[in-house]
Amino acid sequence: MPSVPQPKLGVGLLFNPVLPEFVTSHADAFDYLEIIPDREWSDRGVDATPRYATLDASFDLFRRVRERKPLLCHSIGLSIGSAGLFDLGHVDQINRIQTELDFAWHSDHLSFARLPGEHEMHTAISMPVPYDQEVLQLIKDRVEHIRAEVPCPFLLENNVYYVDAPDQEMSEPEFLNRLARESGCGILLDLHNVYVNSRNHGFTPESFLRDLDLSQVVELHIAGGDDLLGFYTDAHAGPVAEPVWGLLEDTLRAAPAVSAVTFEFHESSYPMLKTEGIVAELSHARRIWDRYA
Amino acid sequence: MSLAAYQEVLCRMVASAAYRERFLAQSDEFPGLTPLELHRLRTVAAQPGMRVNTAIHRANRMAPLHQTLPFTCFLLGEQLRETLDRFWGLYPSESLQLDTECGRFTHFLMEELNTGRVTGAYVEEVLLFERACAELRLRKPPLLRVVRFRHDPEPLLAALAQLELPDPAPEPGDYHLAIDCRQGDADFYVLSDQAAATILAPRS
Repeated sequence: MPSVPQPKLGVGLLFNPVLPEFVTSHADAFDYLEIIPDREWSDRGVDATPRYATLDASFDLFRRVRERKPLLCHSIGLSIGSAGLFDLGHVDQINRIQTELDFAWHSDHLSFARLPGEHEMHTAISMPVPYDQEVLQLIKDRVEHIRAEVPCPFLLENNVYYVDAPDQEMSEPEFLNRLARESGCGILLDLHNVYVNSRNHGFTPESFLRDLDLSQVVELHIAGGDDLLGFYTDAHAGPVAEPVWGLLEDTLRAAPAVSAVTFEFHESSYPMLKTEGIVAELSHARRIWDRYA
Repeated sequence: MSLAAYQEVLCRMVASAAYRERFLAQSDEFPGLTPLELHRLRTVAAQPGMRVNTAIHRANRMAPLHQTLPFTCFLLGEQLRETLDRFWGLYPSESLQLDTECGRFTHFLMEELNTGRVTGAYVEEVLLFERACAELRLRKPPLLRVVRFRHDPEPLLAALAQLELPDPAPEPGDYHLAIDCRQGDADFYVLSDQAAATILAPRS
């Protein structure tokens, strides 16, 4: 990835529960819609039959949007880095909704959150995997399975982290570069995650972008954050963090394969953003997109 | 499966500050870890970012409950935090799925109410109402539910919709509120005693 160039989709929006009306009434404000499928189904557990129950209202809306615009799938539930668990049922479910909604591509996070066991445990936060050869091989094998099962491109997103394990064999950009080159997955580069990590761990985002193979980046995420316990967090709080706009310009200038820029915000920020705020963030992103894409 | 053991310790440290303290004090006693993994875990356990992980873990576990049981969370007020501590202590996080977490918390909270560890004039009836609504959003049958209220549900739910306590207090009594999703969107209406008895009567 991206051995086959992806279509230029433009500027899009990550769907959340406050957006159904916006999606219908402001369809001109975004070029595509990205959905988190895990929030639109009920998962009764890996041993349940049937395992998944999708929310009819959400999927009705997605089908209507799909008639006019591309959809992207951004899952949060695979936990691809879990050493003791690879959820084939989750991959099957992504394939089922891909068949129905025909995503341009689908993605998940380069992290782990689930532990297997009689009672599976979920950390409720994406934890970083160690950037070691052992983990690279583990994830490459899983990407191979996903790409064989789901007939559209697959991307993995760089993670945000608040603790930093010492003595890892590779840096994060080096791990991402090798993973993309050797597995065929693309990179979903979350610029806010880069900014968050740079602030909390004392490096410059520019150095991260310099080390990353930007030719492998297919999609960008932009968002805002918040302060917590002396850290800056990836809270998706309100508008895009101001420094991220500069990173977006730098990245689009240097990354010709980028096909999409997605604005993310948490639904709890809606009272702050309101409709006008969402439109303003999308318009800002579009002005930058139009200059470089 | 050394990596699996590493990930398990890391996850448990995120979920529990007490586990983290125990690991820092007795890390030599944790089996299955390589010297490098022990070194990494000792290092991250002592980093201030681990407190951020735990805070986000708690906030994200709270989110499904707040989303599906907002009135119940409001009514619990200052009891909410200690109730969640007990709930999370008993039930490690298995899923962020709304239905799973909501169902488990409903069961737990009913036990807390029965034993008197949690109190509140309206908590039980509002909890059962919100649980029924959550199940109906997933189109779980039966699509006609009847929730018994011990107070007039109309002023009670109207006040809670504004995240306020009803003032004056709703009239006590025996009320049956129907939530009817058989035609699609939910329709709410208070049943007469006779209608409630008919709907609630066991089918032969």
